[in-house]
Amino acid sequence: MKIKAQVAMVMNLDKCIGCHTCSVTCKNVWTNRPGAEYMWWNNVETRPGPGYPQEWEDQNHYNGGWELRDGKLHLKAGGPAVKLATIFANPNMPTIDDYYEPWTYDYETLINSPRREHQPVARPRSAMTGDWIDSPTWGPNWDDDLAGGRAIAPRDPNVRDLQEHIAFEYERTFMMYLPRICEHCLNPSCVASCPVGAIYKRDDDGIVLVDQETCRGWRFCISGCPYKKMYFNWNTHKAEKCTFCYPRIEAGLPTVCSETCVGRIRYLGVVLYDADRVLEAASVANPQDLYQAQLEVFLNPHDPRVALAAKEEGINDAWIEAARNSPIYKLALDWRVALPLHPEYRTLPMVWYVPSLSPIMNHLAHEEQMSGQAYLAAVDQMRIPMEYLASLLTAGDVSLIRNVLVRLVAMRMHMRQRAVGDVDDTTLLRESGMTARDLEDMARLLGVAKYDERFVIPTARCEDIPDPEYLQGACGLEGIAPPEGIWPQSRINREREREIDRSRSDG
Amino acid sequence: MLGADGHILGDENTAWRPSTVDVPDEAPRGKLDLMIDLDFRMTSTGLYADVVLPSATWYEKYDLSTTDMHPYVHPFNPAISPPWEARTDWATFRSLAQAVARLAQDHLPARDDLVMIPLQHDTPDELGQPLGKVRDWRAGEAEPVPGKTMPRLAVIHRDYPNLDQMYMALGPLARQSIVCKGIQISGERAYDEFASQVEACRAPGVAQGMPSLERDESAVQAILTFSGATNGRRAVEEWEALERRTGLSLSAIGRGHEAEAQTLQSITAQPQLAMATPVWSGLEAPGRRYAPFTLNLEHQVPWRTLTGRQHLYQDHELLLDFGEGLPLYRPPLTLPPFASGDTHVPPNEARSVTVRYLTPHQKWGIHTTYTDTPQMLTLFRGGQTIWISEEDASAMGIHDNDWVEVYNRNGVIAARAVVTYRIPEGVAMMYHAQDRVIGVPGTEITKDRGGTHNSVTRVIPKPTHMVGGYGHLSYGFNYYGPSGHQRDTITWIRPLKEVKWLED
Repeated sequence: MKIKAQVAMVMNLDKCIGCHTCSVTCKNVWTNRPGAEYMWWNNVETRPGPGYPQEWEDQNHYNGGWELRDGKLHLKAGGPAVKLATIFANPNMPTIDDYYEPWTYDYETLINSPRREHQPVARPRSAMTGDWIDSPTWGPNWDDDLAGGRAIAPRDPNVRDLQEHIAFEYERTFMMYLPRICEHCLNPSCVASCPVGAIYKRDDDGIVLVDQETCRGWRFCISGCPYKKMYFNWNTHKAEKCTFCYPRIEAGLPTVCSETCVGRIRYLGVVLYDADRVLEAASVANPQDLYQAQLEVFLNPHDPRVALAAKEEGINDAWIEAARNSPIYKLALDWRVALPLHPEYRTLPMVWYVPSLSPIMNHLAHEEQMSGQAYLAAVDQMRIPMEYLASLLTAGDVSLIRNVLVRLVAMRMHMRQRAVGDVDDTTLLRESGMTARDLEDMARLLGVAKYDERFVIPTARCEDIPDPEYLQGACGLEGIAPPEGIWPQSRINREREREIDRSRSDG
Repeated sequence: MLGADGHILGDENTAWRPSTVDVPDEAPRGKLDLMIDLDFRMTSTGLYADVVLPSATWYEKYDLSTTDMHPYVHPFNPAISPPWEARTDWATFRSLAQAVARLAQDHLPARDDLVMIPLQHDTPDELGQPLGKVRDWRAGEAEPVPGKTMPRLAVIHRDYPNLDQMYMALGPLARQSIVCKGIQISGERAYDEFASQVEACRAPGVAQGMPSLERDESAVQAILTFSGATNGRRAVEEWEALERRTGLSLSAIGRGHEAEAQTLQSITAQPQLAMATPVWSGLEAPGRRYAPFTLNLEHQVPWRTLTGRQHLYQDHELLLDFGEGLPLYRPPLTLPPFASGDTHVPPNEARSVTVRYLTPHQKWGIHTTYTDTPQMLTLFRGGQTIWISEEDASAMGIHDNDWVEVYNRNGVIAARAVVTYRIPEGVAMMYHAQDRVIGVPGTEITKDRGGTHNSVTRVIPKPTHMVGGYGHLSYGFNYYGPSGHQRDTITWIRPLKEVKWLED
């Protein structure tokens, strides 16, 4: 057993309102600069829809992630030999049009226009070529709220095999939002794809980062990531990605997307896992077993043997305590309502999702007399087809989705029973397999949990920093601060040396 | 008014015209002598203004913000000083007052104006039309009595040469009384409290010795001192006033906080729970958050209606004439897109569709604010759009993202179509206030730049909103009165064949 700790995220899709505040604040902080115009480390997709970049889930096209060949895990795009052969023409590489051609506006004309016959207007122009464009033709959120309708939504790779469950018509419209960041996977295919080893998963917190010094811009990480969350900066010719806001995480603060989320849908917390079991879990034969396999990689922080082993690996008490209070552990393991996005990519992603409830399709007669039993049936009539959610979150296993939806409905009915007392929640309680106490705790965490309950993040472990006094004295000026240190020891030493010199010369 | 063509295609004279008001056949046209815009964004208002004054943003000034549905009053504090020549609103209006006062010394002496004031809510004016009968003094049905059978008349002293001094001082009227929602308290104590917190005006003149409002921080402090939500003493005074008026025991709600006086500094240091006051619902009582009608339901304060109860039946004769004595469903108006006499729009070879036109609020901006930033524009389609159904799109022979003209007798819009199965056939939806500064081309119909979402709508006042002087059906600023109803619109849409940017 090799215990590691990771700061993971859960997003509760039931509360996402599709406002894109996460995207905007992420962009303002991280990707608002030349070379990064088209990058949205955090984006929000309307589903059904092709997403950003378009049809990123179509691994027959992009060949991202891993696959099992002869019982062994291989990069789907092929190993070093294939990479060498395609190093100057990678057939799996998304093009700028798969993202979008970034554009800006001639705002100056609104201020500087001379007197003219017609009112001035800021025309769009390409941020790549500078050419005028009459109308942009694609963007990172072009199909917001089903914009484009039947011409666009059916290009969602998830719906191709679900035709009998999906209709693109007014009466049967369904819609949900899917906010996405880098998954900071346990078994990242970007790391494995890099020919020069520039990408690494941090030991302390599991955050996946690109070493900008080492990156040579070969871009195999971009095609290798099945979530298409690795980006190429045309200005620096290096790969870039979501950093999980590591400077904030190190200080015990949530990522910017989590901090600014209006619906408070995001949760952050520590998960302990056994690094020795990652390969085995990623290699299970049936893709529908990957979820369970990943759950088994996680370790129970309440188990004293786990805590002891974690300590031996250098994980300090604060991190173990945080793992015990982790909202991620509760949602993913205790209550099993959070699920990994596309487990079939075999990367063991670490940003999980609570699937969304949705209004039921049919009119409910006599709703005021509905029994708990009827609400159970309602789970099967929700607008978002369970098959669709299963395609996103369980490699197609509908029963897992149904279990979660039953738990979410049971939670609502139980809380209604407590507050209003007009429904009988016994059937739902039994079906959910959860205790009333668990449902109440879950209602609190999903409903009204405060900042420090949603974000349980220990600060970075700094026990092993070799020379904290020097760092404090240099205070970011290491380049010009004398390497022997500044204060207090070095100055005391110098003064003492001078005294000795003086006494010598006096002598 | 702007010196620009509004491109109204309708014939103004086909509409119903009142018999008692002189309406010229041709509405007067012209341009304002001077239009000044105070805005930190170059909106279309700025584009048409003669002067645009640079304005500080929210992050460059002191101000207050709140609503009546949560119990906090939020301060604005400058993160940076206003850049370049930008000034805060307070400083801008102060400068304008100074400039006007200086010129007024020679050109605009003080004068008295006679003004009309509508019959006001929460005043005896509510008795102006007893039994809900309209008695028209012009028709000899009643004696013209200001404040009873006609609007109130008031003489307003406009002291232009002293405008700046009066702007920068809290004047004596504030010391007399503070009135809100019919609750009146003396301003004496608040005034003196405030006077002890700020400097007095020193310059000789009308404001000498009065507490100074020269700085924006002082204006903020004046509001905090005069409001029961942020000053515990005011809150008690307001509860006591309501107690006197209703005979109910209410002042206990406000007690215990008399010593609390929030300041700009104290609410800047950290958010502070406001105090319960009967004139603001953000906090209904200690520990009681906003809920509708709490004051009436939990403290038995009569509703501010004709009967003092929840009032459903309206027996005013105008409402009865319109059949609206009780709440009822009114189908949307079906005003035709065009009428005879309107400007003829020559057909092009494409088919047009007729749609019911909706303008809901958008998620890419708050009105026009933020809609023109590159990020928000990138997060959708980068310019003005209108959502239409797939059925209507196919009837017109257009595809998603094609350009269309949206037009009726009120005006013409150029926008790109967002085609979707999310909305039903026969309905089009143009999100509110996308403005027309970003990527709007010309229209084929007007040969001029296309308009905004409101170019095809028209304000239609609802006649029953004109009722006044009858209990709760009396005018209250920003609460009750005729409102700009402009949503029942039917319009035509057709493909825009050619995109012309009209850069001449």
